[in-house]
Amino acid sequence: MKKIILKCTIFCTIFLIILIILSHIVVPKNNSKEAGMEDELANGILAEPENTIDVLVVGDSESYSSYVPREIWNEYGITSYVCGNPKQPLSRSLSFIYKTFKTQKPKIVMLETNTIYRRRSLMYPLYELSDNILPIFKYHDRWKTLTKNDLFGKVDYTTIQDSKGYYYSDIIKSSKPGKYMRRSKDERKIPKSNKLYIKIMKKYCEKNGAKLVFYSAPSSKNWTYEKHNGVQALADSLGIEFIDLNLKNNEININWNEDSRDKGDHLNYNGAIKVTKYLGKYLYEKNILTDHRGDPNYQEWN
Amino acid sequence: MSYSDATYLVLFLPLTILIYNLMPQKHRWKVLLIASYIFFWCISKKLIIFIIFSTFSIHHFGLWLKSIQEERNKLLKEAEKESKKAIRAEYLKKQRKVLLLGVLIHLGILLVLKYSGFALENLNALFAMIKIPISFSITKYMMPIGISFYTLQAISYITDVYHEKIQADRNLGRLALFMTFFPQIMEGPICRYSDTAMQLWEGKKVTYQNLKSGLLRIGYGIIKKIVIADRLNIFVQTIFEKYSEFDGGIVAIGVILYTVQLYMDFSGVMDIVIGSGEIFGIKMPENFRQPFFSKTISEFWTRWHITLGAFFRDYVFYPLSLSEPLKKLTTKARKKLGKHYGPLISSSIALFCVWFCNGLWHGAAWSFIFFGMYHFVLILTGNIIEPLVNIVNEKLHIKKENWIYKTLQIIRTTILVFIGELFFEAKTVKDGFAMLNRIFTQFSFNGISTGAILDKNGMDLKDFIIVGIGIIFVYIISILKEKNVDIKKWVFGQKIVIRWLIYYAIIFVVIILGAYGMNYIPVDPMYAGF
Amino acid sequence: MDRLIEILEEIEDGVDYKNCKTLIDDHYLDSLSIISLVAELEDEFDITIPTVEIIPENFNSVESMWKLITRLQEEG
Repeated sequence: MKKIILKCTIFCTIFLIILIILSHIVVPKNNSKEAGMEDELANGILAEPENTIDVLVVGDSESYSSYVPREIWNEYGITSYVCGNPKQPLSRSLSFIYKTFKTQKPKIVMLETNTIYRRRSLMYPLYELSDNILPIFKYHDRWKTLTKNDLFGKVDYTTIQDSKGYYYSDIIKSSKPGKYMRRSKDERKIPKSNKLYIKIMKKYCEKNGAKLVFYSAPSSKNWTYEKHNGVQALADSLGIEFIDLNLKNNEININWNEDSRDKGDHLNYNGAIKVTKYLGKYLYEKNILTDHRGDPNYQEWN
Repeated sequence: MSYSDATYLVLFLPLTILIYNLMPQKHRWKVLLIASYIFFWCISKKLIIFIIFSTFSIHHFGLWLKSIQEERNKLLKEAEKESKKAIRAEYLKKQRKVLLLGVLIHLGILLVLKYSGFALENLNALFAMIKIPISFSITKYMMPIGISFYTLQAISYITDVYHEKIQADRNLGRLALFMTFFPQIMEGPICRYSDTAMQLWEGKKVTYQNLKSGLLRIGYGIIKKIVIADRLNIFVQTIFEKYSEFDGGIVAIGVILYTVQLYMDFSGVMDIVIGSGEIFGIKMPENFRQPFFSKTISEFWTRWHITLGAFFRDYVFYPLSLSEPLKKLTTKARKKLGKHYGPLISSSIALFCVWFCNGLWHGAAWSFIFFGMYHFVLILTGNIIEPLVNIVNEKLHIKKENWIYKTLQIIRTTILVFIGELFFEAKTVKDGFAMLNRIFTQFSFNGISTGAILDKNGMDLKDFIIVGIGIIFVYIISILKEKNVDIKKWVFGQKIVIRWLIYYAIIFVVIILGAYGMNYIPVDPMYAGF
Repeated sequence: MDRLIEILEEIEDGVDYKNCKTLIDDHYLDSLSIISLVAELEDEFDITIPTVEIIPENFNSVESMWKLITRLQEEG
């Protein structure tokens, strides 16, 4: 029996060592698409100069379709970055927050709330962990495009994304909102595991001197009053500010005939600008964010 | 959760093994049963009620039959010799009614859930055609995954009790485990009570040897499923959906690769399933025996999805062809038509039923019925021309043992299988013929030289190379198996360095070359939908 | 037993029935032969062979067939 346990231990140790070596080989050496980086738009954050981003936005596709960092810079000189990727689960949002705080000190973290209703399999935390520690599982397919640099080079993130994480689209596909945001008293239930993620997220932000804010981008296809009620209740219980832009249409004026790129699922550039104008004003009025326009260290933003 | 995803392989199975082994032997079956119900709940949620109902039902019917048998045996003991035959006949009648009821209940559930929509649709179409103003509203039922598999197990159990091949089981837990055992619940193999029930009950300790052996088999299965089958998915789907945009040659490649995908997927999952069983010391019946070495279509079906073929043979073909009317027909026909064609008539009737059921079992659609009839016609033709072929062979001095002759037979059978699976996958029978037509009338490979076929359809050249190597690898293993080489014994007999190199090779081939993650869409196991 | 071999030879000749122990496993007798064989045996020996008895173990050799026949005759 002892011999078997010893054998298994040695087997697993060698297995782990090979995994680590392979991970070093396949991990993208730059944060560009060409270097093999996934979600290169969101991961552009990795190349931003240290301590220059004041607002971090995370969430699924609703986030990078609704928030235009450049617009807020032009208006108020506030720097922000959207770390959103398609179908982002909360575990991934949290990863992006951890990743960002390694080199940045954002004062505000905005979470787009659509992801709060994403259900994930039991294995998801494990996937997330393996993605961060052993990227071989995520980047295994890179055997097809390996170069010499992958074998011997060091990781160096140099690819700056001009849009700061916003995904530009000027396609117009109109929608008829129908029952969208019809009043209701019911609450859509939030999965327990997701509540836990939110709590962890809030604690982490506070510990690092940042404020967590929820916002919900207008989406006639994804958002409902029941979801609003659910998130509102959660926000109230945790003392988190929640801006539901779906309910502020008399101020934002989203026109579903021309402001969506895919029939009400996501906003196009027109819609995103309207939303961003509102959010920019909100951030500015917080009075805790600095106007960096004119600061030579922020040249690149101009 | 399916057998090839991480949740099963690194969470569910290891956890079950661990808890199973920590329990004392007499409680181990409970671990398996609870794990099985959790597994079923994960894939079917509330529909779990159906399999629980079926379990209670076969338990009840088994005992009912048993009570009739016991009563009869008591009477037989006391009876005079002359009256014995009458008693037997009387009780057989009683038993037959119970059997019929039991089978009808299970078949009925399956028919309503799986086929009522299809039947009503066709009735509506028929009524519309002959202008009868009746139209049924069609309800789509939710079907528990695995129902097509466990229903057959239920039927085989009741029938085997009826025939007194097995004793009815008083133990509800054992029956529940026989019905629900988690590795087999989604895609089979379709087990008989005499195959697995007692083994499942025994609660043998997981030994190091069994664990190693089971894991090796699982590894081989994962390679087939994740590296080869899943990699082909997008390409094959594209060809079948947009066949009219491709040259015949490329459609042909798509069709061949579909059969490859189906085989790698189904037999790969079977390796995982049987390997999982092996870890718990349970020997399940094999479902594949190198099908692509078959010389005839009927041989193919004794090597491909073996347990399904065996079910139809034992519970449809023989009972039908040996039923009173058909037996009489055989005796009569033999006198008139001779020893070959005589039994052919009644066996063809039975064969027709078998293939009709086989086609329908795969799904409620005309393309599946066509799939069944295709095989019926092929096998029937084979039977009819067999004497003729023998005469021709004799005249031409061709020996059946000649390897060239055998190879040609194998190639012919394989091509017929490709065509069969083409209709199996095609959306409609019409699409199937259109694809076939394209292959034969517009056979060229124009898309390949321009490279347009490659990147667009989810597979680049490197992917094709991987698939090619994979096929060669599986082919070599198959030849070795066909020659009765014990590959596992060979692996375990190697020095530790070589052995570990093999293990690491399997694991890392799956990790690096597996078609999983962000560039691939997860593929549902292909046979779970039936 | 000789009568049994006669019947077998009538159905499928050219097989060494006396020594072969794998009539089913090695495909000497296919399902067609089994169907005629069962009909013949039932006539000849006045028995009924239930379908459960149609298993390879009962038909792989002449001895096992003979055992099956005698057993069924005794059961009456």
